[in-house]
Amino acid sequence: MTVASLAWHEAFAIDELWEGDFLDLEIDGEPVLVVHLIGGAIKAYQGVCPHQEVMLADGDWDEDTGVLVCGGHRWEFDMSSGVGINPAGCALYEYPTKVDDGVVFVGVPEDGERHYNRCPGS
Amino acid sequence: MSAHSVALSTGESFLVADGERILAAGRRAGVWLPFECGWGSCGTCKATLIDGEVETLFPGAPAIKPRDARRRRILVCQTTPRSDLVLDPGSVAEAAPEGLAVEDRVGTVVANDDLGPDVRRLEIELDRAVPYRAGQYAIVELGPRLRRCYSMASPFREGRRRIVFIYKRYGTRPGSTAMWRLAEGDSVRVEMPYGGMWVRDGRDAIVMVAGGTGIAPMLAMVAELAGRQDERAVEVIYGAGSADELVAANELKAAIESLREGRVRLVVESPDRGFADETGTVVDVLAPLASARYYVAGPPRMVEAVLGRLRDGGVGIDRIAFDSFG
Repeated sequence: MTVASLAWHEAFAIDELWEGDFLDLEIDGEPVLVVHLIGGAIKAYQGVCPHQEVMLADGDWDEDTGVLVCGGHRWEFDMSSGVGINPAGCALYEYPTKVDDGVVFVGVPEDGERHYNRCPGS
Repeated sequence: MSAHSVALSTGESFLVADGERILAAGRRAGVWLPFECGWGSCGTCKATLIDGEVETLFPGAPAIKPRDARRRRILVCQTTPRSDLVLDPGSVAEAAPEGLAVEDRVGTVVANDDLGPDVRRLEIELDRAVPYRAGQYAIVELGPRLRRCYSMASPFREGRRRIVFIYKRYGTRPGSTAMWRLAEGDSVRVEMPYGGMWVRDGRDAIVMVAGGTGIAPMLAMVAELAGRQDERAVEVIYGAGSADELVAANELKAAIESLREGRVRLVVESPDRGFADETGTVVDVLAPLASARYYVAGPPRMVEAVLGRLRDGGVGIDRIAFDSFG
């Protein structure tokens, strides 16, 4: 298996993305959600819900539990892992992140694919 | 009347008349912005305002969140331009999403009859038939900035222009009061169909949970299932405060009897339950079944309570379709 190399994209200055908050951006046409979890971890996920592609950044966010509820049809995700809580069995695509000199970077695999999971359900 | 231009980051542009909603103006111009509920509940239609001034026509819309202002996100279904605009809608389609080919129609009131205490059945003859799925709803224009959602209480049949709503009058609240005043021969503007609650294909048992006038979409769905001789087991749990508020219960029972495997459970809160089967609320009598598919409609508080009960009972949100109109 070949592992695609990563292209690191500058996302936000860490000062813009407070602990307990999230911001969204578009990288090469892909919506990306960057979360700064309570405790300090920084995670990046696909920016649209795997269900019907509603923007996750429009959803309801509980910074204490780290759970994001999509506004469209109330799908819930644990933003510390990207794993779907309700329904179970669906997870967000996760991008690698790094913080360098106060700047958050998101790593996008250079594989020519669009990076997101779909769980259309019904 | 003045108009403002809306230019989209995806390349399309269209004009919006003064006071007109951006989503509807786009649709009338053949530009289908993303949407689902049409009235500000789901947030599917949120777009980013890149440039220009707007006015929100329903500041209390459930989908409007504190974070929106900072991110310049607007609900295009409930927003009108105050200047020319540039918007990023995320995506645009040239045709309606499946099941959501919304049309603007004019209807004539045929009947507005009592069905129970403060509950009436409104029949409207549209100027042209609009296909919809049983379980969907219409947005009825009842005056300036006065629009309300009502589910169709009977299924669509080819060429049928008649639609039926069941609604409750809430004190002096303007929407239902305006509905109450409609008389035979009156004209009403109707946008339809909207909503994502319709019977999904499959083999799983179906459970419908309705509170009050939330029975309307269930009547339509049961009739549709009966009409196509669907073989799935269907249970309808229908609750209200008192027995006389269980409007259309006999109509529901008749429809259920024409199903292969159907059951109705009438639930009332008052101890004097009359012809009801059980006492309590629909939440009290609900025994969540993880393998069933759920359809829920009623007052927002009831719907929230049912969703909570189903969640605790291990029913995935992907197995539940619901409507709640405040």
